[in-house]
Amino acid sequence: MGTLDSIQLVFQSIFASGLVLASLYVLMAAGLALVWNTLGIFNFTHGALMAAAAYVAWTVADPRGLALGLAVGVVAAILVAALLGFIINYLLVAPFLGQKQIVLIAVMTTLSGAFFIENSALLLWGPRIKQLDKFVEGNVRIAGTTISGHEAIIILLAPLLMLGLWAFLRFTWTGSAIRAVAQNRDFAELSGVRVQRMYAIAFAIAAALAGLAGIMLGAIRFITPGLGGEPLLKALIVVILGGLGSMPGTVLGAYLVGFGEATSTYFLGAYWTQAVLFLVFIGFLVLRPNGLFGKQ
Amino acid sequence: METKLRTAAIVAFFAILVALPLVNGDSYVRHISIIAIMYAVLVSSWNISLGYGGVFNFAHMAFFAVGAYATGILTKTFGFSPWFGMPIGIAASVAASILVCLPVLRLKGIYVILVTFAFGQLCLQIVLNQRELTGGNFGLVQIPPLEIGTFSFRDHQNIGYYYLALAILGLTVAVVSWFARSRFGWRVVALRDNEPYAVSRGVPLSRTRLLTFALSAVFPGAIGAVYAQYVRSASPDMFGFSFLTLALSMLLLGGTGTVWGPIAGAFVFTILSEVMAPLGPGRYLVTAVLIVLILRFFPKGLAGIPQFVAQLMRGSRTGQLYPTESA
Amino acid sequence: MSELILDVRGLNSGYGRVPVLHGISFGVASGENVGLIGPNGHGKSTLFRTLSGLLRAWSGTIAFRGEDITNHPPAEIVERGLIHVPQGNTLFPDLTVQENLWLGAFAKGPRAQRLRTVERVFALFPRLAERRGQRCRTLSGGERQMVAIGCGLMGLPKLLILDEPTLGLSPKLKTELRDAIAAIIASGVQTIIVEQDPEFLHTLATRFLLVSEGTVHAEISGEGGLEHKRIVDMYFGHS
Repeated sequence: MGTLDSIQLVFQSIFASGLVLASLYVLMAAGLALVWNTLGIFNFTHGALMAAAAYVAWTVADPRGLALGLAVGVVAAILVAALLGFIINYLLVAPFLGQKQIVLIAVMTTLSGAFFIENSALLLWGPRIKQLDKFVEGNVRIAGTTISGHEAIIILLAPLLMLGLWAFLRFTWTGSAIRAVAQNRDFAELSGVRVQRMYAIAFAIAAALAGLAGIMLGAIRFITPGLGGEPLLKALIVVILGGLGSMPGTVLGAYLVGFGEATSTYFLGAYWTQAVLFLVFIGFLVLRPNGLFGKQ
Repeated sequence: METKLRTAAIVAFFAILVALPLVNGDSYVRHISIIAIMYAVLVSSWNISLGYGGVFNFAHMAFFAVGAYATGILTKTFGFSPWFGMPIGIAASVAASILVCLPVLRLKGIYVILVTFAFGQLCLQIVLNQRELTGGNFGLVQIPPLEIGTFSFRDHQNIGYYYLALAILGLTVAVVSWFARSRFGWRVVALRDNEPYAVSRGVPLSRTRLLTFALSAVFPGAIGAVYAQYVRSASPDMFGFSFLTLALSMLLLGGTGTVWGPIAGAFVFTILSEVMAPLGPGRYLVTAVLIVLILRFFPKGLAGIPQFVAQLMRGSRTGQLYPTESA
Repeated sequence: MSELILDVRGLNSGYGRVPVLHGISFGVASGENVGLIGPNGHGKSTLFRTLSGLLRAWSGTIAFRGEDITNHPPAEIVERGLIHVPQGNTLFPDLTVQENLWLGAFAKGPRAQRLRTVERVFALFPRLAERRGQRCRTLSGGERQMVAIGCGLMGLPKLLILDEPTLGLSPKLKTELRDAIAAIIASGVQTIIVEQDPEFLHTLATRFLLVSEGTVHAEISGEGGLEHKRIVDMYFGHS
């Protein structure tokens, strides 16, 4: 049957592109959710960190830069991102914690931080467009369609990293302490947990995740200072959709947004997808202001 | 006595602005003045929803951009008279504000920030994607300017736009001053300070909030239209991070919740950023650092500086510098 | 006078600009168990928050086992063995009983000994052993209180501060809890216990302090036995 075949083909292509998008969103949203969950603030430098990491990876890896190879570049970029996360927490977040308007203040300070990082990137790397090499060459066939090897890595990496993050939070002392701080800051302090240290660690981990997402993105899209702008927006939507701070909700949200976007792009085209996404998002929030897994 | 002084200051402020073009015809000074006035309008109207309303509305600059694009598209592409520009801008901006406000009605705190922020970013995506209509990345250019007969508002170093923007600023100040003292304004502040109590005393939450949004969106809509006609273009940068951060820093620098603070902030910051122009993109770095420093050491903005100095002079270290610090 | 394990002198503290403690001074001698009574809202919890470093002391000093700990970080104070079990047993609601207890032993020393300590906690509160895999938000009020005290014990305290451990508990549970606290004291842990019901403290404390209006208003030592009537007189005579 011709129609059945073509329906199958449609589903296959939606599935493949949706999976790639969803995996990217998981990587981006996880760090955002971790910081929200632990510190109760939203880190608007997340997108800028993605761009910064992509630039660092490019500089270290590219023949026009230090030419040390992609692997070194990736490691260096993740380390730099984590370090930046540390610094951002130290300068832009920690001094303001405990103030009544911390949520708003943190938005302003991290927005300024993003502004700072993006313009620094512009000064350091100039406006010329750059792109990272793909992690692997060649293509992979999944579910009847062909995707690039790089995309396949993204698809695999996202759930693996989530698993790693979950295990870290679940099974290590530091991970438990981070969860504890998120649930009851005072009691954590009374248990001997150094709260500021946990904040710094959570922030650095989130920044490293942002960095990784940026590197992945830097091989698919062109690296510009604004590389992380649109992904940050998607990550925000994912995190809200999932119910702020809920990790399972965030993962589910990422896959919903990814597949939703792929479906909408296929049937309505890229033109209208963003608008549709936003309207659906607003409608959803009106019905369920606390997201999928959110608590009151 | 104090009110007399106040009135005198207000009259002097506007007198200087009205007289400025008569004394100084330099086109650069004119341009900076127009931009500063426009920022003052944007920031002081933002103060209605963010400062008085306490609603973390991050879509205000997007309302401005929506007004500019709506004006540009309808007057350029669809042939409306440029004189419809401002009504179009206001209508588009108010419509956008109501669209944003609907979900915001049921949300609090960080969700409001996220949704309003997301709104601006999604407008940007739409603008970038609807290339035929909006010019995409390159922006919308050649927007028809305002003209009366043979007099173009661009003549005499844009003197028409200068006075038009100044008139809008005067109107904004009048409305915000009225708002701050009106029953409506009190309700808005009551909702900000103690929502459950205000609601229990009969303040209609949804209606008040919608009206707050719509009122504050009138001005960015108007200024968006005039801006589009003044620079004859609308660009996607108007939805950008940088612009938002800059405007936010003006509001912060001036101090929220006062009529004159944001206006002072807008003028000081516009001039400051012109002084720093030789630094190129470096000035954005300075701006970012400045915002954080202000937040850190002068949480009340410019208005907090005299208080801070007084405290230093008294040498009193026992009182906490930051009364907002909680347990 | 024997050596003081805790020595608080002229302590002033409060929230924001509002003072709550007004130059409070008292000491806890080695081997002593102190009962704190006094009306609500007169600074008992504020005192403990200041002692454990959650709240800054505006002036005055706190010495623990001869060393100054005024305004030291909470984690350090916990590591020294001054452990505060706060009121309202909030815990970490989405962690299991076991995870809560482990976090009580977060500091290096207690962490190494956690397996041994947790056995002691389970011996004291056998119900916690049954519920070890359960999330704390699903526990009853009494069970949560046991977890809270258990967490305190996991940190190997030298001085354990219990802030109204019986809040909202049934008389039967109160008796159970009193026996458990008595066992804790018998094991060599000194305690400061806040309690509204003097009866409860009767057999536990060796000395009583009445805290009201941010200072110690009166005290009675336990020499010659504590008479219930005197405690009641002291309490109601001053409030």
